[in-house]
Amino acid sequence: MRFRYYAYGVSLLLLGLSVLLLFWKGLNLGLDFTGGTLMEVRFEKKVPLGDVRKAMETAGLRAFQVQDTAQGTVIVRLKVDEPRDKALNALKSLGNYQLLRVETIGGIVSKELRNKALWAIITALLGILLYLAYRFEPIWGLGAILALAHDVFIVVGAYSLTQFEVGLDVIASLLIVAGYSVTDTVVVFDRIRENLRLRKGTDFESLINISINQTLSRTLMTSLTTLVVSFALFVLGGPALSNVMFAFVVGVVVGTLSSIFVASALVLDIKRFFLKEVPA
Amino acid sequence: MKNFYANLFAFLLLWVASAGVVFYKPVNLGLDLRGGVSILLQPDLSYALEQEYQRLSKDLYDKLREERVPVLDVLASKEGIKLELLEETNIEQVIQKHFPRLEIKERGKGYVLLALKEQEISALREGIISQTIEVLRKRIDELGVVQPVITKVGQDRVLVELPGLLDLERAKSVIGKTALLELKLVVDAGSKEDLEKKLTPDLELLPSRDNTQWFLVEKTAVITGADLKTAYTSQDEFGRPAVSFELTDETAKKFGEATEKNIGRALAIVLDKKVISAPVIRSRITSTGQITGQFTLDDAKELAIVLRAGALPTKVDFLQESVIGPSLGRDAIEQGIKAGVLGFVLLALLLLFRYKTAGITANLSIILNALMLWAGMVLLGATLTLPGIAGIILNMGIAVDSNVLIFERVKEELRLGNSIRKAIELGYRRTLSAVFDTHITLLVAALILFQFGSGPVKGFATTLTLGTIASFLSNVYFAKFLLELLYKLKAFRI
Repeated sequence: MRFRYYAYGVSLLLLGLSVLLLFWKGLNLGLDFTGGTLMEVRFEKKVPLGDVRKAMETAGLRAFQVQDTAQGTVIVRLKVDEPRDKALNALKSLGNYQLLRVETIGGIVSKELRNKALWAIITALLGILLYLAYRFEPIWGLGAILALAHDVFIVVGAYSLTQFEVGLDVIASLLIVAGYSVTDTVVVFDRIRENLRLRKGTDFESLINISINQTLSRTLMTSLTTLVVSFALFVLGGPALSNVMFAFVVGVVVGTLSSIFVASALVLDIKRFFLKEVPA
Repeated sequence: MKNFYANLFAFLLLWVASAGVVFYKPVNLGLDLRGGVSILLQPDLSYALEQEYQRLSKDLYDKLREERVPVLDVLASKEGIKLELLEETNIEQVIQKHFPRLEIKERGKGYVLLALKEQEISALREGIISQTIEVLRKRIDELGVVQPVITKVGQDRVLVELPGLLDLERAKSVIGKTALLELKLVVDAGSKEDLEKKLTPDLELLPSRDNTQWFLVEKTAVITGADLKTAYTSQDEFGRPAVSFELTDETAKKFGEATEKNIGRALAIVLDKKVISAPVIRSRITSTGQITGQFTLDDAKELAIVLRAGALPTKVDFLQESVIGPSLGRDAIEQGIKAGVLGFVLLALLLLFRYKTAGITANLSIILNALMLWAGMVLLGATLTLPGIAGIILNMGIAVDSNVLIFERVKEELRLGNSIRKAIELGYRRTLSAVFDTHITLLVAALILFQFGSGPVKGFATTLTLGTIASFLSNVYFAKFLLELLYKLKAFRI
């Protein structure tokens, strides 16, 4: 617990970095949220990206992006209302290709999905908060939810940093990380509560220390098991899955650290600050 | 002791049952793994409303005249029917008595706005959605797609999934065509400006398919697509693709009379408010007819399909559409299997390294868990999507958490000097509440994901929810039992 101010420092630094990154680089939002069209093709003979771009411009397209992937395919993104057939014809003029996928999402749906995603995050956080408040005292719930929000924010910052695409599936994964990482905190809290009963007379700060140490190997082990599988998916799962699993890889690491260093410390400080006393 | 054997039996039974289900039937693959076309569409309710108001306004006009209510004009729009009245007239009674579906929505100086009642509008919407689904099902059946999905999504949308189909444009033109066929008598043809001058309330002005020619036709159709018995592709006299149709017996008679009376006049064949052709009636036509125009063979086939399946109740808007090629899904499955195997091997080694023989039981429950999850998907007819695969693999890592929780506690109790039996008992009992917590928070998060409706994310939510339930069952019932089993076999090392 003595180190908690360092931990706060690191957390605040990471949070600050996340905010800066969000303002500076923003998020690479996926088709789900931007609307528009995405097509992925594999040319039989490799075509330089510059040629693809030129062909698109010749076809009269304005708002588009061209990108190649590690799998040797070409991805073309069109803004909402850019004609898809023109783009397909332009691609056809460059040589034979295999059409891997085409997805089009209209403006109405993408707007809805944006709202839904936001609501999902809010309701998830609220649901977890309610659950924690029910299981523990409200202040504990507050500590856990602050730690959780901190984790989620840092994961979002990591997406901004790497510019991995954030689609609906990433949001889904983020929610699961949130649900998952809060359980680490709950286990620590459970232990603190148990120790409150068992070791009456010990001061609160040492109690927290003891509890964290008692649960440390467990916390590290469960995080490690999840990290191992999400890392396997991140590395081998192919482009779509590694995009989604990145949230888990970062989230599990940050979540573990925050449940060890931040969540209980926050409870201690909130109690000190608001109640001006520390229950023994 | 009795309890122990009951548990052993249940444990083995669960293995056999889950494995049985898994081998008995394959799981449904989502479109993102199988490849195919997916389209989300929305029937245009305001268009349908306008049509409905147009129909009603005609009856209303007649009725009001019959009742001797002085009306200046009746205007239908998607907002309702606007009656322009000469003076303050009491029309409530007429409306209530003869048009109970309508209500007065707004009353202003010299006019009254009538609209359908709220429940009538929702009934109309329901009707349109179910009719749209029915017509689409018929059309898609004709396309020969295996296992198509056509379902209502939300309140007013329809999701169409066509596995195995790769031609999005063709799918869209078969699905999206309203295919309202009308045969209407032509009054005049020429340029738009000239014809506009001759327009009267019972006539309408329609363009040709390429928008170059305009026709003034009678509003009331001689026959419509609803009068068709069947339609099929054929050839016209020059051997070009055409579509022939047969009329039902009742309409054949009506059509015969109408054509006989109008020999020498042109009859416009109108599809979705565009004139395809306007041949001159040369003789009485009864039961069969032919639609010609500059069709390709594919066009003709498509037209025959949509005419057979019937018209959509209103036009539809495409909100979201995608085609996934089959190779993408194959790659994804392959990568998923690779990642899953690697993940499991690493996990297994980690557990064996840290928990020795107890690690074996943890690994057994990971496998059982995955089996139960898969069996659950098969039994519920759930769909496996790409994020769903991630959910399954992730579940291995998450499900084992409860084992870790218990094992660590058992270790701790052993360190405190408890006997093995006692440590197992205490380790299990003292972690139970935490096991509850982990599963409940995960379940909350997974359930929230279901609101994203169908599609890949739902697959993620499905596998996670099922996985969490399976893990809860296996941990609460079998974690302790497996440790006791080890102890009995004198193989307990942790």
